Amino acid sequence: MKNVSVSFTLNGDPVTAEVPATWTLLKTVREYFELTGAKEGCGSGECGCCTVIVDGDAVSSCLYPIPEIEGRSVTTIEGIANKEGTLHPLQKAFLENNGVQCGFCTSGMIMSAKALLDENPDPAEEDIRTSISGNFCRCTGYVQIIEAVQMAAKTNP
Amino acid sequence: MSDYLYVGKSIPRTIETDKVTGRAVYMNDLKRPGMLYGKILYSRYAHARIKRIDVSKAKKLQGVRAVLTGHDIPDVRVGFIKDQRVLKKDVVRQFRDEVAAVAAISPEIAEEAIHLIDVEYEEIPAVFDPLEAMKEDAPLVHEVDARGRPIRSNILPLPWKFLAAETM
Repeated sequence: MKNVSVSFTLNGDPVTAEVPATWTLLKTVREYFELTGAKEGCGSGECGCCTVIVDGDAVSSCLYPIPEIEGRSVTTIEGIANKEGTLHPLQKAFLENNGVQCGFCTSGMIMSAKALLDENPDPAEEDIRTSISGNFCRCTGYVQIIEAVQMAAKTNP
Repeated sequence: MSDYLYVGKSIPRTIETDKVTGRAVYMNDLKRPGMLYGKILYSRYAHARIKRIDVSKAKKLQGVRAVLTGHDIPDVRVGFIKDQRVLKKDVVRQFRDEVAAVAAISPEIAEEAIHLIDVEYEEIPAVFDPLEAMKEDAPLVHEVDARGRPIRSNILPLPWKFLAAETM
């Protein structure tokens, strides 16, 4: 199995990873960088638990071949609080609106919502629903999640 | 009515901060020194007799620490009606009946070991529909019950009485 060396930006830091060329972005983030916030829920790009942001787009990292990440910018759930540890408005809103139960979908949900708010700071409810349409939640019923994104949109400058 | 401490208030839960920051540790996030990875070999047939299980090649694979079949474990039965053995050694009764288990030093080696296990099945007729299963000539899912007594029908006489509402 041939290794590949990729250099990219991870949560604002320049990094290099040398991993088997068949690894996905998800596996690299979880195993090489030990950032286990992104989860493998299905391994086939359908559940959204693995969602991270690459160059501004929410992507299913379980389907993202690691060689493609060269030169790009990746943000995971571990990178959205600021350096002092203050939670991102989305993280605060998910907590305050009971948008979290078991928490397994949460990192993916927040990353999908963040990709939306970064591009559309004042989304309509339909836009929010579309942005999380690739993220499954078996616990909450989605209502509190949508309300959390709405609250975060109001507080996000 | 006096003001309550908790009733009528929104009480923040205590562990969710770790979940929104990605710090919460779930089963697959855990790593421990010397840990092993397990994989299961599942049945390829819905209903079949197991004639032979050969784990010799799987056991020899470097990095494999254990390979277990139904022959290696006590005859414990689990399940609601105690109809499930943990690993099946005589008959498999559904796709995804567990036939063997491997423990190895990496998930990739465990997966390779699974592929090295050779199982010889004799397929038998299966039934996939509850109405079909209730027919007199339907293939029996179980031929004996948990105590070894012969079963004659897929319809089990459960010792409870159900009170059902009338349907209009």
